[in-house]
Amino acid sequence: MIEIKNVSKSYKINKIEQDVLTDVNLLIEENEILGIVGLSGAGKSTLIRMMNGLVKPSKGQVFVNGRAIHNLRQKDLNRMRYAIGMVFQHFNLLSSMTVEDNIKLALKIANYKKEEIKDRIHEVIDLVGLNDKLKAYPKDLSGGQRQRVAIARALANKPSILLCDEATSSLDQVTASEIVKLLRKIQSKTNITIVFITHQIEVAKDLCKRIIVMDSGKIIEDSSTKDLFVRPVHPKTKQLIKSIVYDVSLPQRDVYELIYSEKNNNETIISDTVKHFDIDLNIIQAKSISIQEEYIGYLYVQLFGKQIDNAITFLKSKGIEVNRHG
Amino acid sequence: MGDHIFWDLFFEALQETLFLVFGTGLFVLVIGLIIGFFLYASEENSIMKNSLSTKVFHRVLATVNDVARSIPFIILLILLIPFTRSIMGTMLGAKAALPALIISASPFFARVVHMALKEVPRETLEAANSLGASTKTIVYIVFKEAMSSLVTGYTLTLVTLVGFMSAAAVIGAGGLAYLAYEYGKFGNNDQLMYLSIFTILFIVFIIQITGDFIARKINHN
Repeated sequence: MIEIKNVSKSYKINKIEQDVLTDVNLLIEENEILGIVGLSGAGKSTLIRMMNGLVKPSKGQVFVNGRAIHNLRQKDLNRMRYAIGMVFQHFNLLSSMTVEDNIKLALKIANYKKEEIKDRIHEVIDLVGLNDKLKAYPKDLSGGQRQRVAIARALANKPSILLCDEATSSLDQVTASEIVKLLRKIQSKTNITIVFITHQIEVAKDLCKRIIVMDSGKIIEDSSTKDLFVRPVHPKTKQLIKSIVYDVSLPQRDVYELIYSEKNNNETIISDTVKHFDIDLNIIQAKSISIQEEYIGYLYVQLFGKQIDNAITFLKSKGIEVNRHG
Repeated sequence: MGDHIFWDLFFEALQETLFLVFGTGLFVLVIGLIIGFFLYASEENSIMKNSLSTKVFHRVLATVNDVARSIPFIILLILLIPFTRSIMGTMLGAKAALPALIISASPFFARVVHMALKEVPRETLEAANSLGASTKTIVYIVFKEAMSSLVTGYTLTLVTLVGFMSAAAVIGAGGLAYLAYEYGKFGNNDQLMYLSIFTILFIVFIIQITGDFIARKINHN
Protein backbone atom coordinates (compact mmCIF):
# COMPACT_ATOMS: atom_id res chain seq x y z
CA MET A 1 0.00 0.00 0.00
CA ILE A 2 1.25 3.44 -0.89
CA GLU A 3 -0.02 6.53 0.83
CA ILE A 4 0.88 10.02 -0.31
CA LYS A 5 -0.15 12.75 2.08
CA ASN A 6 -0.17 16.46 1.27
CA VAL A 7 2.98 16.15 -0.78
CA SER A 8 4.53 19.15 -2.48
CA LYS A 9 7.81 19.36 -4.30
CA SER A 10 9.68 22.30 -5.70
CA TYR A 11 13.04 22.45 -7.44
CA LYS A 12 15.40 25.34 -7.79
CA ILE A 13 15.94 25.82 -11.49
CA ASN A 14 18.22 28.73 -12.33
CA LYS A 15 17.75 30.03 -8.80
CA ILE A 16 13.99 30.23 -9.25
CA GLU A 17 11.79 27.93 -7.18
CA GLN A 18 9.53 25.92 -9.43
CA ASP A 19 6.65 23.87 -8.10
CA VAL A 20 6.56 20.41 -9.59
CA LEU A 21 3.93 18.96 -7.27
CA THR A 22 1.37 20.85 -5.21
CA ASP A 23 -0.47 19.25 -2.35
CA VAL A 24 -0.91 15.79 -3.78
CA ASN A 25 -2.93 13.17 -1.92
CA LEU A 26 -3.15 9.63 -3.16
CA LEU A 27 -3.89 6.20 -1.79
CA ILE A 28 -2.85 3.14 -3.74
CA GLU A 29 -4.27 -0.13 -2.46
CA GLU A 30 -2.52 -3.45 -2.45
CA ASN A 31 -2.81 -5.50 -5.67
CA GLU A 32 -4.03 -2.49 -7.57
CA ILE A 33 -2.96 -1.52 -11.08
CA LEU A 34 -2.99 2.25 -11.07
CA GLY A 35 -2.31 4.41 -14.09
CA ILE A 36 -1.00 7.92 -13.74
CA VAL A 37 -1.62 9.83 -16.93
CA GLY A 38 -0.63 13.33 -17.93
CA LEU A 39 1.42 15.30 -20.39
CA SER A 40 5.12 15.71 -19.86
CA GLY A 41 5.85 18.22 -17.12
CA ALA A 42 2.74 17.24 -15.20
CA GLY A 43 4.82 15.90 -12.30
CA LYS A 44 4.27 12.18 -12.88
CA SER A 45 7.93 11.21 -12.84
CA THR A 46 8.58 13.14 -9.66
CA LEU A 47 5.57 11.56 -8.00
CA ILE A 48 6.57 7.99 -8.86
CA ARG A 49 10.13 8.63 -7.67
CA MET A 50 8.80 9.53 -4.26
CA MET A 51 7.37 6.05 -3.95
CA ASN A 52 10.86 4.55 -3.72
CA GLY A 53 12.64 7.53 -2.21
CA LEU A 54 14.61 8.57 -5.30
CA VAL A 55 13.05 11.99 -4.75
CA LYS A 56 12.24 13.41 -1.35
CA PRO A 57 9.17 15.62 -0.91
CA SER A 58 9.66 19.27 0.04
CA LYS A 59 6.52 18.98 2.14
CA GLY A 60 4.26 16.12 3.14
CA GLN A 61 4.67 12.44 3.79
CA VAL A 62 5.00 9.24 1.79
CA PHE A 63 4.19 5.88 3.36
CA VAL A 64 5.01 2.64 1.62
CA ASN A 65 3.72 -0.53 3.24
CA GLY A 66 3.20 1.53 6.37
CA ARG A 67 6.72 2.97 6.59
CA ALA A 68 7.57 6.64 6.19
CA ILE A 69 9.89 6.32 3.22
CA HIS A 70 10.73 10.04 3.11
CA ASN A 71 12.30 9.77 6.55
CA LEU A 72 14.45 6.66 6.32
CA ARG A 73 18.20 6.46 6.74
CA GLN A 74 20.00 5.53 3.52
CA LYS A 75 20.67 1.99 4.69
CA ASP A 76 17.04 1.32 5.58
CA LEU A 77 15.90 3.01 2.41
CA ASN A 78 18.10 0.68 0.34
CA ARG A 79 16.66 -2.34 2.13
CA MET A 80 13.15 -0.99 1.53
CA ARG A 81 13.91 -0.70 -2.18
CA TYR A 82 14.43 -4.45 -2.47
CA ALA A 83 10.65 -4.66 -2.14
CA ILE A 84 9.95 -1.97 -4.76
CA GLY A 85 10.87 -2.78 -8.33
CA MET A 86 11.16 -0.09 -10.96
CA VAL A 87 11.30 -0.08 -14.76
CA PHE A 88 12.14 2.88 -16.93
CA GLN A 89 11.42 4.35 -20.34
CA HIS A 90 14.93 3.66 -21.62
CA PHE A 91 15.31 0.33 -19.78
CA ASN A 92 18.54 1.46 -18.04
CA LEU A 93 20.25 -1.91 -18.15
CA LEU A 94 23.97 -2.13 -17.58
CA SER A 95 25.45 -2.30 -21.06
CA SER A 96 28.64 -3.95 -19.83
CA MET A 97 26.80 -6.94 -18.38
CA THR A 98 24.92 -9.85 -19.90
CA VAL A 99 21.22 -10.32 -19.31
CA GLU A 100 22.04 -12.90 -16.66
CA ASP A 101 24.47 -10.60 -14.85
CA ASN A 102 22.04 -7.70 -14.95
CA ILE A 103 19.48 -9.80 -13.10
CA LYS A 104 22.14 -11.28 -10.84
CA LEU A 105 23.19 -7.77 -9.84
CA ALA A 106 19.73 -7.08 -8.42
CA LEU A 107 19.83 -10.31 -6.43
CA LYS A 108 23.33 -9.67 -5.14
CA ILE A 109 22.38 -6.19 -4.03
CA ALA A 110 19.53 -7.71 -2.04
CA ASN A 111 21.94 -10.25 -0.47
CA TYR A 112 20.31 -13.27 -2.05
CA LYS A 113 21.99 -16.54 -1.11
CA LYS A 114 24.37 -17.85 -3.73
CA GLU A 115 22.54 -21.17 -4.12
CA GLU A 116 19.25 -19.43 -4.72
CA ILE A 117 20.47 -16.88 -7.24
CA LYS A 118 20.61 -19.24 -10.20
CA ASP A 119 17.13 -20.62 -9.63
CA ARG A 120 15.66 -17.18 -9.21
CA ILE A 121 17.28 -15.93 -12.42
CA HIS A 122 15.68 -18.82 -14.30
CA GLU A 123 12.30 -18.17 -12.72
CA VAL A 124 12.15 -14.51 -13.72
CA ILE A 125 13.66 -14.97 -17.17
CA ASP A 126 11.05 -17.67 -17.71
CA LEU A 127 8.34 -15.28 -16.60
CA VAL A 128 9.33 -12.72 -19.25
CA GLY A 129 9.97 -15.41 -21.86
CA LEU A 130 13.61 -14.78 -22.72
CA ASN A 131 15.22 -18.04 -21.63
CA ASP A 132 17.47 -18.16 -24.68
CA LYS A 133 18.93 -14.69 -24.12
CA LEU A 134 20.67 -15.13 -20.78
CA LYS A 135 24.16 -14.78 -22.25
CA ALA A 136 23.27 -11.90 -24.58
CA TYR A 137 24.29 -8.31 -24.00
CA PRO A 138 21.62 -5.58 -24.01
CA LYS A 139 22.88 -4.15 -27.29
CA ASP A 140 22.00 -7.44 -29.01
CA LEU A 141 18.37 -7.20 -27.93
CA SER A 142 15.41 -5.31 -29.37
CA GLY A 143 13.72 -2.58 -27.35
CA GLY A 144 10.91 -4.89 -26.30
CA GLN A 145 13.35 -7.58 -25.21
CA ARG A 146 15.39 -5.08 -23.23
CA GLN A 147 12.29 -3.96 -21.41
CA ARG A 148 11.50 -7.59 -20.61
CA VAL A 149 14.95 -7.97 -19.11
CA ALA A 150 14.42 -4.77 -17.14
CA ILE A 151 11.12 -6.17 -15.86
CA ALA A 152 12.82 -9.43 -14.91
CA ARG A 153 15.48 -7.45 -13.05
CA ALA A 154 12.86 -5.39 -11.26
CA LEU A 155 10.95 -8.51 -10.22
CA ALA A 156 13.98 -10.57 -9.20
CA ASN A 157 13.70 -9.67 -5.52
CA LYS A 158 10.00 -10.53 -5.38
CA PRO A 159 8.90 -6.97 -4.71
CA SER A 160 5.38 -6.17 -3.57
CA ILE A 161 5.30 -3.02 -5.70
CA LEU A 162 6.33 -2.42 -9.30
CA LEU A 163 6.82 1.16 -10.47
CA CYS A 164 6.74 1.71 -14.22
CA ASP A 165 7.99 5.05 -15.50
CA GLU A 166 6.87 5.43 -19.13
CA ALA A 167 7.72 1.76 -19.56
CA THR A 168 6.16 1.50 -23.01
CA SER A 169 6.80 5.00 -24.31
CA SER A 170 9.87 4.25 -26.38
CA LEU A 171 8.40 1.10 -27.89
CA ASP A 172 6.30 0.67 -30.99
CA GLN A 173 2.58 -0.01 -30.60
CA VAL A 174 2.73 -3.77 -31.04
CA THR A 175 5.64 -4.20 -28.64
CA ALA A 176 4.01 -1.84 -26.17
CA SER A 177 0.86 -3.94 -26.08
CA GLU A 178 2.97 -7.06 -25.57
CA ILE A 179 4.58 -5.43 -22.55
CA VAL A 180 1.13 -4.47 -21.26
CA LYS A 181 0.00 -8.07 -21.66
CA LEU A 182 3.09 -9.24 -19.81
CA LEU A 183 2.45 -6.84 -16.94
CA ARG A 184 -1.15 -8.05 -16.66
CA LYS A 185 0.04 -11.64 -16.61
CA ILE A 186 2.57 -10.83 -13.91
CA GLN A 187 -0.03 -9.01 -11.87
CA SER A 188 -2.48 -11.87 -11.98
CA LYS A 189 0.25 -14.36 -11.06
CA THR A 190 1.95 -12.46 -8.26
CA ASN A 191 -0.68 -9.99 -7.03
CA ILE A 192 1.93 -7.26 -7.19
CA THR A 193 0.83 -3.62 -6.96
CA ILE A 194 1.61 -1.82 -10.21
CA VAL A 195 1.93 1.94 -10.60
CA PHE A 196 2.10 2.76 -14.27
CA ILE A 197 3.04 6.21 -15.45
CA THR A 198 2.44 7.17 -19.04
CA HIS A 199 1.53 10.03 -21.31
CA GLN A 200 -0.27 7.51 -23.53
CA ILE A 201 -3.80 7.19 -22.20
CA GLU A 202 -4.48 4.43 -24.75
CA VAL A 203 -1.87 2.24 -23.03
CA ALA A 204 -3.17 2.99 -19.56
CA LYS A 205 -6.73 2.01 -20.52
CA ASP A 206 -5.56 -1.48 -21.53
CA LEU A 207 -3.70 -2.08 -18.30
CA CYS A 208 -5.16 -0.13 -15.42
CA LYS A 209 -8.35 -0.54 -13.42
CA ARG A 210 -8.02 2.95 -12.06
CA ILE A 211 -6.48 6.02 -13.61
CA ILE A 212 -5.51 9.35 -12.17
CA VAL A 213 -4.88 12.29 -14.43
CA MET A 214 -2.26 14.87 -13.52
CA ASP A 215 -1.77 18.38 -14.78
CA SER A 216 0.69 21.03 -13.59
CA GLY A 217 1.63 19.13 -10.46
CA LYS A 218 -1.92 18.37 -9.37
CA ILE A 219 -4.23 15.41 -9.53
CA ILE A 220 -7.18 16.62 -11.57
CA GLU A 221 -9.08 13.38 -11.95
CA ASP A 222 -9.18 10.07 -10.13
CA SER A 223 -11.63 7.39 -11.22
CA SER A 224 -12.08 3.88 -12.53
CA THR A 225 -10.85 3.53 -16.08
CA LYS A 226 -14.34 3.01 -17.44
CA ASP A 227 -15.77 6.04 -15.67
CA LEU A 228 -12.91 8.14 -16.92
CA PHE A 229 -13.87 7.34 -20.50
CA VAL A 230 -17.63 7.58 -20.04
CA ARG A 231 -17.88 10.56 -17.70
CA PRO A 232 -14.68 12.61 -17.76
CA VAL A 233 -14.93 15.79 -15.72
CA HIS A 234 -11.88 17.95 -16.23
CA PRO A 235 -11.37 19.64 -19.62
CA LYS A 236 -7.79 18.35 -19.79
CA THR A 237 -9.06 14.81 -19.35
CA LYS A 238 -11.59 15.31 -22.11
CA GLN A 239 -8.79 16.55 -24.28
CA LEU A 240 -6.70 13.46 -23.59
CA ILE A 241 -9.61 11.17 -24.42
CA LYS A 242 -10.51 13.14 -27.50
CA SER A 243 -7.05 12.49 -28.88
CA ILE A 244 -7.80 8.79 -29.17
CA VAL A 245 -11.56 8.91 -29.86
CA TYR A 246 -11.84 11.11 -32.90
CA ASP A 247 -9.48 12.80 -35.23
CA VAL A 248 -11.85 14.58 -37.61
CA SER A 249 -12.96 18.13 -37.03
CA LEU A 250 -16.63 18.17 -36.15
CA PRO A 251 -19.13 20.67 -37.53
CA GLN A 252 -20.05 23.46 -35.14
CA ARG A 253 -23.82 23.13 -34.94
CA ASP A 254 -26.26 20.63 -33.44
CA VAL A 255 -23.60 18.01 -32.66
CA TYR A 256 -24.13 15.55 -29.85
CA GLU A 257 -21.79 13.01 -28.39
CA LEU A 258 -23.44 9.71 -27.50
CA ILE A 259 -21.42 7.38 -25.32
CA TYR A 260 -22.54 3.76 -25.00
CA SER A 261 -21.13 1.87 -22.13
CA GLU A 262 -23.88 -0.54 -21.06
CA LYS A 263 -24.67 -3.79 -22.73
CA ASN A 264 -27.68 -2.53 -24.70
CA ASN A 265 -26.81 -3.80 -28.11
CA ASN A 266 -30.03 -5.79 -28.52
CA GLU A 267 -32.22 -2.74 -28.37
CA THR A 268 -33.03 -0.54 -31.33
CA ILE A 269 -32.50 2.62 -29.37
CA ILE A 270 -31.54 4.97 -32.17
CA SER A 271 -34.36 4.05 -34.52
CA ASP A 272 -36.84 4.19 -31.60
CA THR A 273 -35.63 7.70 -30.86
CA VAL A 274 -35.98 8.78 -34.47
CA LYS A 275 -39.51 7.34 -34.73
CA HIS A 276 -40.96 8.43 -31.42
CA PHE A 277 -39.64 11.97 -31.38
CA ASP A 278 -39.68 12.68 -35.10
CA ILE A 279 -35.97 13.36 -35.20
CA ASP A 280 -33.66 13.66 -38.17
CA LEU A 281 -30.29 12.20 -37.46
CA ASN A 282 -26.99 12.53 -39.25
CA ILE A 283 -24.07 10.34 -38.18
CA ILE A 284 -20.74 12.15 -38.34
CA GLN A 285 -18.38 9.68 -36.74
CA ALA A 286 -18.55 6.48 -34.76
CA LYS A 287 -15.86 4.66 -32.89
CA SER A 288 -15.62 2.01 -30.25
CA ILE A 289 -12.68 1.46 -27.98
CA SER A 290 -11.91 -1.47 -25.76
CA ILE A 291 -11.16 -1.11 -22.10
CA GLN A 292 -9.80 -4.48 -21.14
CA GLU A 293 -12.89 -6.76 -21.25
CA GLU A 294 -15.38 -4.00 -21.97
CA TYR A 295 -16.24 -1.82 -24.91
CA ILE A 296 -17.29 1.79 -25.07
CA GLY A 297 -18.93 3.26 -28.15
CA TYR A 298 -18.66 6.88 -29.18
CA LEU A 299 -21.18 8.22 -31.64
CA TYR A 300 -21.13 11.77 -32.97
CA VAL A 301 -24.40 12.84 -34.54
CA GLN A 302 -26.26 15.93 -35.63
CA LEU A 303 -29.83 15.99 -34.39
CA PHE A 304 -32.63 18.05 -35.92
CA GLY A 305 -36.27 18.28 -34.84
CA LYS A 306 -38.65 19.89 -32.39
CA GLN A 307 -38.46 17.29 -29.63
CA ILE A 308 -34.71 17.06 -29.19
CA ASP A 309 -34.84 17.58 -25.44
CA ASN A 310 -37.28 14.70 -25.01
CA ALA A 311 -35.17 12.56 -27.28
CA ILE A 312 -32.11 13.21 -25.16
CA THR A 313 -33.96 12.35 -21.98
CA PHE A 314 -35.04 9.10 -23.60
CA LEU A 315 -31.48 8.26 -24.67
CA LYS A 316 -30.21 8.96 -21.18
CA SER A 317 -32.89 6.72 -19.70
CA LYS A 318 -31.46 3.92 -21.82
CA GLY A 319 -28.04 4.36 -20.19
CA ILE A 320 -26.44 6.42 -22.91
CA GLU A 321 -24.36 9.43 -22.00
CA VAL A 322 -25.35 12.42 -24.09
CA ASN A 323 -23.23 15.55 -24.28
CA ARG A 324 -23.83 18.56 -26.41
CA HIS A 325 -20.71 19.10 -28.38
CA GLY A 326 -19.25 22.53 -29.12
CA MET B 1 81.49 1.84 -33.19
CA GLY B 2 81.74 -1.94 -32.79
CA ASP B 3 78.73 -4.20 -33.07
CA HIS B 4 79.03 -5.15 -29.48
CA ILE B 5 78.87 -1.59 -28.17
CA PHE B 6 76.11 -0.71 -30.62
CA TRP B 7 73.77 -3.37 -29.32
CA ASP B 8 74.75 -2.77 -25.70
CA LEU B 9 73.80 0.85 -26.08
CA PHE B 10 70.57 -0.05 -27.81
CA PHE B 11 69.39 -2.64 -25.33
CA GLU B 12 70.28 -0.49 -22.36
CA ALA B 13 68.24 2.36 -23.85
CA LEU B 14 65.36 0.04 -24.69
CA GLN B 15 65.33 -1.21 -21.12
CA GLU B 16 65.28 2.36 -19.82
CA THR B 17 62.44 3.32 -22.12
CA LEU B 18 60.34 0.32 -21.11
CA PHE B 19 61.09 1.03 -17.47
CA LEU B 20 60.03 4.64 -17.94
CA VAL B 21 56.86 3.90 -19.88
CA PHE B 22 55.57 1.14 -17.65
CA GLY B 23 57.05 2.39 -14.38
CA THR B 24 55.57 5.84 -14.89
CA GLY B 25 52.50 4.23 -16.41
CA LEU B 26 51.81 2.34 -13.22
CA PHE B 27 52.08 5.45 -11.02
CA VAL B 28 49.98 7.46 -13.47
CA LEU B 29 47.36 4.73 -13.53
CA VAL B 30 46.94 4.70 -9.75
CA ILE B 31 47.20 8.44 -9.17
CA GLY B 32 45.03 9.30 -12.17
CA LEU B 33 42.31 6.84 -11.17
CA ILE B 34 42.18 8.23 -7.65
CA ILE B 35 42.13 11.91 -8.65
CA GLY B 36 39.77 11.26 -11.56
CA PHE B 37 37.38 9.35 -9.35
CA PHE B 38 37.29 12.09 -6.73
CA LEU B 39 36.76 14.73 -9.41
CA TYR B 40 33.74 12.73 -10.52
CA ALA B 41 32.47 11.82 -7.07
CA SER B 42 32.62 15.41 -5.78
CA GLU B 43 30.55 16.84 -8.61
CA GLU B 44 27.05 18.05 -7.91
CA ASN B 45 24.53 15.19 -7.61
CA SER B 46 27.23 12.60 -7.96
CA ILE B 47 28.42 10.13 -5.36
CA MET B 48 29.48 12.40 -2.51
CA LYS B 49 26.87 14.36 -0.59
CA ASN B 50 25.98 17.77 -1.98
CA SER B 51 27.47 20.19 0.52
CA LEU B 52 29.65 23.25 0.69
CA SER B 53 32.71 21.25 1.67
CA THR B 54 32.23 18.87 -1.27
CA LYS B 55 31.96 21.86 -3.56
CA VAL B 56 35.15 23.42 -2.19
CA PHE B 57 36.95 20.08 -2.36
CA HIS B 58 35.97 19.70 -6.02
CA ARG B 59 37.04 23.23 -6.89
CA VAL B 60 40.44 22.87 -5.23
CA LEU B 61 41.10 19.45 -6.73
CA ALA B 62 40.03 20.54 -10.21
CA THR B 63 42.13 23.70 -10.06
CA VAL B 64 45.29 21.96 -8.86
CA ASN B 65 44.80 19.24 -11.43
CA ASP B 66 44.23 21.69 -14.27
CA VAL B 67 47.22 23.83 -13.35
CA ALA B 68 49.50 20.80 -13.28
CA ARG B 69 48.06 19.65 -16.58
CA SER B 70 48.44 23.04 -18.23
CA ILE B 71 52.16 23.48 -17.60
CA PRO B 72 53.98 22.39 -20.75
CA PHE B 73 55.97 19.28 -19.99
CA ILE B 74 59.36 20.72 -20.89
CA ILE B 75 58.79 23.70 -18.56
CA LEU B 76 57.72 21.39 -15.76
CA LEU B 77 60.85 19.38 -16.31
CA ILE B 78 63.01 22.46 -15.72
CA LEU B 79 60.85 23.71 -12.85
CA LEU B 80 61.28 20.41 -11.11
CA ILE B 81 65.07 20.20 -11.37
CA PRO B 82 65.73 21.05 -7.70
CA PHE B 83 62.96 18.76 -6.52
CA THR B 84 64.15 15.90 -8.68
CA ARG B 85 67.71 16.32 -7.54
CA SER B 86 66.71 16.22 -3.89
CA ILE B 87 64.56 13.08 -4.08
CA MET B 88 66.29 11.14 -6.87
CA GLY B 89 69.82 12.29 -6.10
CA THR B 90 70.54 12.84 -9.77
CA MET B 91 69.53 14.92 -12.74
CA LEU B 92 70.58 12.39 -15.31
CA GLY B 93 69.32 9.07 -16.55
CA ALA B 94 65.97 7.41 -16.63
CA LYS B 95 65.17 7.83 -12.96
CA ALA B 96 65.55 11.60 -13.19
CA ALA B 97 62.67 11.83 -15.61
CA LEU B 98 60.22 9.99 -13.34
CA PRO B 99 58.90 12.86 -11.16
CA ALA B 100 58.22 15.19 -14.07
CA LEU B 101 56.61 12.44 -16.14
CA ILE B 102 54.37 11.38 -13.28
CA ILE B 103 53.38 14.91 -12.33
CA SER B 104 52.63 15.76 -15.92
CA ALA B 105 50.80 12.65 -17.04
CA SER B 106 48.74 11.94 -13.90
CA PRO B 107 46.55 15.06 -14.15
CA PHE B 108 46.05 14.32 -17.82
CA PHE B 109 44.91 10.80 -17.09
CA ALA B 110 42.83 12.07 -14.15
CA ARG B 111 40.80 14.21 -16.56
CA VAL B 112 40.45 11.28 -18.92
CA VAL B 113 39.13 9.17 -16.04
CA HIS B 114 36.78 11.96 -14.98
CA MET B 115 35.34 12.20 -18.48
CA ALA B 116 35.01 8.43 -18.85
CA LEU B 117 33.10 8.14 -15.57
CA LYS B 118 30.88 11.06 -16.50
CA GLU B 119 29.87 9.24 -19.68
CA VAL B 120 28.06 6.59 -17.66
CA PRO B 121 24.39 7.57 -18.01
CA ARG B 122 22.73 8.93 -14.88
CA GLU B 123 19.76 6.71 -15.72
CA THR B 124 21.85 3.57 -15.33
CA LEU B 125 22.84 4.68 -11.85
CA GLU B 126 19.27 5.64 -11.05
CA ALA B 127 18.24 2.10 -11.92
CA ALA B 128 20.93 0.74 -9.61
CA ASN B 129 19.71 3.06 -6.88
CA SER B 130 16.17 1.85 -7.38
CA LEU B 131 17.44 -1.67 -6.70
CA GLY B 132 18.81 -0.49 -3.38
CA ALA B 133 22.50 -0.46 -4.35
CA SER B 134 24.97 0.72 -1.70
CA THR B 135 27.50 3.43 -2.51
CA LYS B 136 30.15 0.74 -2.89
CA THR B 137 28.05 -1.03 -5.50
CA ILE B 138 27.36 2.23 -7.32
CA VAL B 139 31.11 2.91 -7.55
CA TYR B 140 31.66 -0.60 -8.87
CA ILE B 141 28.96 -0.09 -11.50
CA VAL B 142 30.37 3.25 -12.61
CA PHE B 143 33.81 1.73 -13.19
CA LYS B 144 32.40 -1.37 -14.83
CA GLU B 145 30.32 0.65 -17.27
CA ALA B 146 33.21 3.04 -17.99
CA MET B 147 35.85 0.33 -18.39
CA SER B 148 36.11 0.46 -22.15
CA SER B 149 36.54 4.26 -22.16
CA LEU B 150 39.06 3.95 -19.34
CA VAL B 151 41.18 1.52 -21.34
CA THR B 152 41.05 3.77 -24.39
CA GLY B 153 42.00 6.75 -22.23
CA TYR B 154 44.85 4.90 -20.58
CA THR B 155 46.20 3.86 -23.97
CA LEU B 156 46.14 7.48 -25.04
CA THR B 157 47.98 8.42 -21.84
CA LEU B 158 50.71 5.83 -22.39
CA VAL B 159 51.28 7.04 -25.94
CA THR B 160 51.47 10.62 -24.67
CA LEU B 161 53.98 9.44 -22.09
CA VAL B 162 56.27 8.14 -24.82
CA GLY B 163 56.09 11.59 -26.36
CA PHE B 164 56.91 13.26 -23.04
CA MET B 165 59.92 10.98 -22.67
CA SER B 166 61.35 12.16 -25.92
CA ALA B 167 61.21 15.68 -24.57
CA ALA B 168 62.88 14.55 -21.36
CA ALA B 169 65.71 13.17 -23.45
CA VAL B 170 66.81 16.70 -24.22
CA ILE B 171 67.77 17.33 -20.61
CA GLY B 172 69.60 14.08 -20.34
CA ALA B 173 66.99 11.57 -19.28
CA GLY B 174 67.89 8.24 -20.80
CA GLY B 175 66.09 5.91 -23.12
CA LEU B 176 65.74 5.38 -26.82
CA ALA B 177 64.86 8.97 -27.58
CA TYR B 178 68.01 10.09 -25.83
CA LEU B 179 69.99 7.62 -27.92
CA ALA B 180 68.43 8.90 -31.13
CA TYR B 181 69.07 12.47 -30.10
CA GLU B 182 72.65 12.03 -28.95
CA TYR B 183 73.89 9.66 -31.62
CA GLY B 184 71.79 11.06 -34.41
CA LYS B 185 72.61 14.66 -33.82
CA PHE B 186 76.09 14.56 -32.39
CA GLY B 187 77.46 11.08 -32.87
CA ASN B 188 76.71 10.78 -36.55
CA ASN B 189 75.51 7.25 -36.12
CA ASP B 190 72.47 7.20 -38.37
CA GLN B 191 71.93 3.48 -37.95
CA LEU B 192 71.53 3.79 -34.21
CA MET B 193 69.30 6.81 -34.62
CA TYR B 194 66.94 5.13 -37.04
CA LEU B 195 66.87 1.92 -35.03
CA SER B 196 65.94 3.92 -31.93
CA ILE B 197 63.28 5.90 -33.71
CA PHE B 198 61.67 2.85 -35.28
CA THR B 199 61.73 1.03 -31.98
CA ILE B 200 59.93 3.95 -30.34
CA LEU B 201 57.34 3.87 -33.11
CA PHE B 202 57.02 0.13 -32.66
CA ILE B 203 56.42 0.53 -28.93
CA VAL B 204 53.72 3.16 -29.58
CA PHE B 205 52.19 0.88 -32.15
CA ILE B 206 52.08 -2.10 -29.79
CA ILE B 207 50.56 0.00 -26.99
CA GLN B 208 47.90 1.34 -29.34
CA ILE B 209 46.99 -2.02 -30.83
CA THR B 210 46.82 -3.74 -27.45
CA GLY B 211 44.73 -0.92 -25.98
CA ASP B 212 42.33 -0.88 -28.91
CA PHE B 213 41.99 -4.65 -28.79
CA ILE B 214 41.14 -4.74 -25.09
CA ALA B 215 38.78 -1.77 -25.35
CA ARG B 216 36.91 -3.41 -28.20
CA LYS B 217 36.74 -6.69 -26.36
CA ILE B 218 35.02 -5.18 -23.33
CA ASN B 219 32.87 -2.68 -25.15
CA HIS B 220 29.26 -3.82 -25.37
CA ASN B 221 27.69 -0.52 -26.27
